[in-house]
This record gives sequence, structure tokens and C-alpha cells, in this order.
Amino acid sequence: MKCSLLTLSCALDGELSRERQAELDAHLITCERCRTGMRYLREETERISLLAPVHLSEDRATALLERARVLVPVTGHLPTNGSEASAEDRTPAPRTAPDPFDAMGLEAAIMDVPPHLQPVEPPAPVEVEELAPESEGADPELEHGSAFEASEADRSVVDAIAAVPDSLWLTDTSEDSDGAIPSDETVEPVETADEQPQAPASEPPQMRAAEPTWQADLSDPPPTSSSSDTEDAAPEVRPSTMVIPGWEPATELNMPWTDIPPAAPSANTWAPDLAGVPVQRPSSMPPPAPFPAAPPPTRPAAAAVPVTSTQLRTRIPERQGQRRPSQPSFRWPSFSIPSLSLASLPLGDRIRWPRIPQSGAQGSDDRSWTRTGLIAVAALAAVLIAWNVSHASPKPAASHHARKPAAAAASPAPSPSATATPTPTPASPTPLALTGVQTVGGAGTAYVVQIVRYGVHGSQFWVVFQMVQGSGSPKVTSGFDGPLTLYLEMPGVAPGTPVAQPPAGAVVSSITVGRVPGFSGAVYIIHLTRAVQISPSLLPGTDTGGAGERYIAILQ
Amino acid sequence: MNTVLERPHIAASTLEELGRQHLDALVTYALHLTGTPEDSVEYVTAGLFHARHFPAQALHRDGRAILYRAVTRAARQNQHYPPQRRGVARIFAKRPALISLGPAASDAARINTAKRALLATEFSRRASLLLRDMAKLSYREIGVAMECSPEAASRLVASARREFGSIYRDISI
Repeated sequence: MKCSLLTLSCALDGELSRERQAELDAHLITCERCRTGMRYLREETERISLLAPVHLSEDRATALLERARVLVPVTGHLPTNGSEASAEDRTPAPRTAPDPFDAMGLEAAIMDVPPHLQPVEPPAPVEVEELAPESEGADPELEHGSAFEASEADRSVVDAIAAVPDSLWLTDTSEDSDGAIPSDETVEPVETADEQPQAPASEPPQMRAAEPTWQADLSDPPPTSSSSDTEDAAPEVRPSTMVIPGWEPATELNMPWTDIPPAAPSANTWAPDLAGVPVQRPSSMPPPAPFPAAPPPTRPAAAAVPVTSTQLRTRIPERQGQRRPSQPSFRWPSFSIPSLSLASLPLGDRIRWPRIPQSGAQGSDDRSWTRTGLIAVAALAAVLIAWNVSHASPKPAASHHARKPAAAAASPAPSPSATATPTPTPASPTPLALTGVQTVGGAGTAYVVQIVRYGVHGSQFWVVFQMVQGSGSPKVTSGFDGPLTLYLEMPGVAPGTPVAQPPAGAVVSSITVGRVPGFSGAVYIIHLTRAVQISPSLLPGTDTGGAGERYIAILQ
Repeated sequence: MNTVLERPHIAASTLEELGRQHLDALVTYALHLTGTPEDSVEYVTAGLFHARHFPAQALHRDGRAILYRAVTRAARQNQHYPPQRRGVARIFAKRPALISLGPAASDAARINTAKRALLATEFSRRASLLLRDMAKLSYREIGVAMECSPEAASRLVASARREFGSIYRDISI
């Protein structure tokens, strides 16, 4: 017996026949390598079986089944006596439910079932005695891998079955009816190479004739054949012998398990290649009839459209036959008026109009990319427009000069040299534009500022304006134009002698006086060295006890 | 006496019963096949949706294997359900709320060494390994699910075990 990983794997799964299992047990006694391999296989099986399961709650399961449109809405009466509902009550709403795949233009037939499979009236049923147990062993539908092929070929099945002689139908008595794996005597997944091929005597001649068709009708293309597959198909080796590459006993019996080179996986391997390997039928059951190839889904609308010369040029010959024709779900509007056709415009033949994507395999890709491109261009245009709109109107720079009136803004701003002149022409803020405006006094008139004195009282710095020759209580309004400029407006007061400069190091750096447009009376502009708060007060009398008023600005 | 050509009407109640019976196993299989709970629930939904097209006879005979076959096909062909739009349009498409699998799915989706090795194997081998060792399907049922013969299924399982073991020993060192 050869060392074969396939044999070990089948033995681990309990799929070996009794004789083969006995041979393997005898082999394992003497073969340390196979014992190690069997131990590894057990460990890997346990690792897979120990993966965590998932349990769905009842509501989640119901939600999933409802989303899959498996749940049938209850219509009509329900059986009250516990009997089964009639066939009419359970007939299938899911089949007539709209297919979202088709609605979205996607390929819906992942099961090779046409998306609009309508129930068809069944033909006259053909009754054959004891057919069900015999048909389970060789289910043509399952071996074809296509429910669509099976459903469409039902009529051919009837004809093929009717053509089978009756002697072949009633000879099988060993078939189990539970749908288990075929019996060990007839199908052995693993055979050794030293055994000679034996064809069952009861195998009907039609079986071998049907096997190539069974191989050729697989729905998906098989992978590329490896060297081992070629060896399996050699005539001197039993066809059912399957030896994993790397397990040839003549060359690798002394190799440890880890030195076995892995088999090169073929691209998109969905199943091992069985080309040329005849399948041994489990019994003398009637052979499967050779199924005709399933016709491709016919599309009358597409077939009615004549193929233009442009479409013929754009077809790729080598890709034909490899793609499944998709169901068209979107049709470009066709212009019925000849005068609106682009081709009819007298613009010459050198202009290449963009090709309108056609329905079909090529058109689906083009249509998808066209939509994607249009959406991307539209999104880019929207971003650019939004950016331009947001950056087209720059906001003006914020400045406290903007609060000044236009007439005052036209005048030049006070320069540092102007502060030294006795009558500067500073910027002319209106009283309303000043901040922290405080007003003392009332309607006094005809006052003249006699002297301006300074005083330091603790942390306070006093500026005293002594006004004489007037009557009433003079009105004085103070306000800041910025943190370092203090305006004093005296409407009923005339400036007197030039103001003495403050002492060095005081909070007041200089005082300028004059008439400012927009203000009335004398305007004193006090320049500060730091931001202060003002507490104005008005005292009657003068320092010498004469008539007059004293305006005191307490800065701290 | 059996009727040979009984038209394959879909017995929805049969599919519903099958779905409820094997839903946990299907979701577990899809979760370990794809690695993400979101994809697994969508592939299971797509598989159940497409399983409606199978004849009732096949559902009665190989219901479990056919459900696995449908889910495997949906996962292989990346068929989400509800179907996803293609291209940029899928970004703007409004999708319904995903059916949550609950905290058990997050525990099952946690990556460990065995899971990492499993996800590193080829799709068909991974599927056959899960079908055999987790779902405990026979070779014949694996052949139905993987759309191949039982002999091919046995070879697929053997090669899958070999690849999985090799990867597991490599990454576990």
C-alpha cells in the first residue's frame, strides 16, 4: 500500500471501505510517517471544529429570512386541524417576488437560474415505478452543478428515460434510500496504484458514453491539469487512483512530513480536475442521459436588435464565450426622429461620436465606467464651484477706523509728530464711536480752560481742568478711541492757554487740544502709556476760591 | 410510484424550515469563510434568496448541502444582499440597516492562529475544510456544495488539510 495523504484523509473522515480501512490499519503499524501524518490531520480537524459557532436569536433569524424573502406571507385560511396546508396555500410567492439584482441591473443568476423564471405548466407526468431511490445515486442535476440546466432539461430527461430499456430499471436492489454516500463496494475515493482497474460487470454500456458529456457540461471551467492529473489519466493506472503530488512512494518515502512540497495551487481552483477520469457508478442503476448543453438565456429584445458594423469592430474575439451575457436593465433612449440623430448631421465622417454603450457583456462594463466617470466629473465640478463661491468675495479687514464716518476717515490719521504740535488735526471720531463714554455736567456755557494740572494720588493719576468765566455746569464727555487714546469733549468750553506737558513716567504721555470736525467746543486728546480706566467728576470753584468749575479725570 | 417530472415548485415552507434549521450553521460557516460578520450575513441572505430557485425535490433530498452551495456561491462571487451598486454610485446608495449577528458573532470573528491560517488558504480549500470539519458534511454533500464529484471533494478536503496544516505550523512558530 502506498503512503497517501488522500487515503489518510478519507480514513479520518470514515469514508474508506472496510477493506481499504483494514489495509490502512495494517500499514499504519509499520509506517511511522503515516502515523505522524494521521496525527497531524487529527489535530487540524480539531482546530477547525473548535472554531466558535454563532447562534442567531429568533428575531434575528426571522429578520434574515424575511430579508431573503424566504418567509411566505400567510394568505388565506390556515389549517385548523393540524393537517398540512394545501399546495395552493403554500405556493410560492418567493418565485414571483421582484428580484433586486435584476432591478439594479446586476447579474442575478448566480445559481445559473434565469432571473425571470416563470412557473411553466408541467407536461404530462410520466410515472415510473420505484424511480426515486435509484435516481438519488446519480443525480444529473447535482452533478451538472446547475439547477437551471436541470430544470430546463426536464423534457429531455423524460425522453432519455423513456428510451432506456426496462431491464435496466428494475435490476438495482442495493441502493440505499437515505441519500448517503455510495456504497463502499462500488465507489472508493482512494485506490492504490498497484491494484488493477476493475469495471463493474453490471455497468451498462451507456454509462461510459455519458461520462464525457458529464465532464464537459460542468458549469465552471476546471483548473489547469497538473502533472499528477495527467498521471491519473494514464491508461496503465487505475482511473480512480488519486495520489497527492509529493506523495510518490518511490521518491519520498523517507521524507519527513514537513519536507513535502506543497502542491502548486492553480488559479481560481474550484475543484480538482477530473478530465479523463471516468466516474464509477455506484450500482447498475440506469445511466444518466446525456444532457444537452443548456441553452443560453434568450433575450428576444436583444436578439431583435441588429448588430451594426461598429459593434462588430469593437468586439474582442478572444473574450467571446467567456462572459455570461447579462440581463439588460437600462436602455439608452433611442431617438425616433431621424433629424435629431447625431449621425444624420452634416458634419462629415471624420468626427467620431462617443459610442453609446450597448446592452450586453461589453456594454455593462462600459456603462458602469461611464456612470462612474460622469459622477466623478460632476462631483469635481461641484467642489470647484463651491470653492470659488467661498473664495470669490474676500471679507474686508477689520479695523477700528471703519467705525469712523466716511468724512472723518478721509482725513489723515494723527502722526506721532502731530502730537507735539499744539493744534494737531487728529482723526475725528464721533462721540458715538468712542467707547466707555461718560458725561458729566449740564448746559454750562462760555467757559475757558484756564489751566491744566496734574496730580498723583497713590495709584491714581489726576488731570484737572480748571474752567473759569462761564456760567452753569459745563458738559464734559469722555471716551476712548482705542486703549491708549482718551477724548474729552467740552461743548461749551473754549481752549485756553497751551497745555503743560505731563511729568515723565506718568500714565499720560501727552495732551493735545484743538477743534476737531464733528465735535463741538474744545477737544482734549490724552495719549496714554497704558490702558487705564477713567472716573470723571466735576467740582465747583477754583483752587483759589474764585468762581469756576473744575473737571477732574481720575485715571487708574 | 413516483412522479418523474414533477415540476420543481418551490415549497417555501420547506426552504423556510431548512433555513431556520441550518441558519446558525450557515452563518457560522460564512463567518469563518469570509472573516467578517457583515459579509457573512449578507452572503447567507443572498444564498437563501437564490436557493429559492432550486427545485423542491433537490431541497427535500439535499437541502442542507444546497444551502451551503448557495452560500458558497454567493461568497465566491461576492454577491451581497441586498445587492450593492457598482462604482462610485455605491457610495451614495442608501443601504438598509445591517442585521446584527450579536455579540457571539464578534467572538467568533476574533482572529486567532487557526483563523488566520484558515483565511490564508485558498477559497475552495477553505470552504471544503469548513464543510467537512465544521459542518460535518459527507463527501457527497461537499460535492453538492462545491459543485464537484465526491471524489473531487475528497481530494479537495485532503489538499485543504495539507495546506491548512502547513500554514498553521508556519505561523504558529
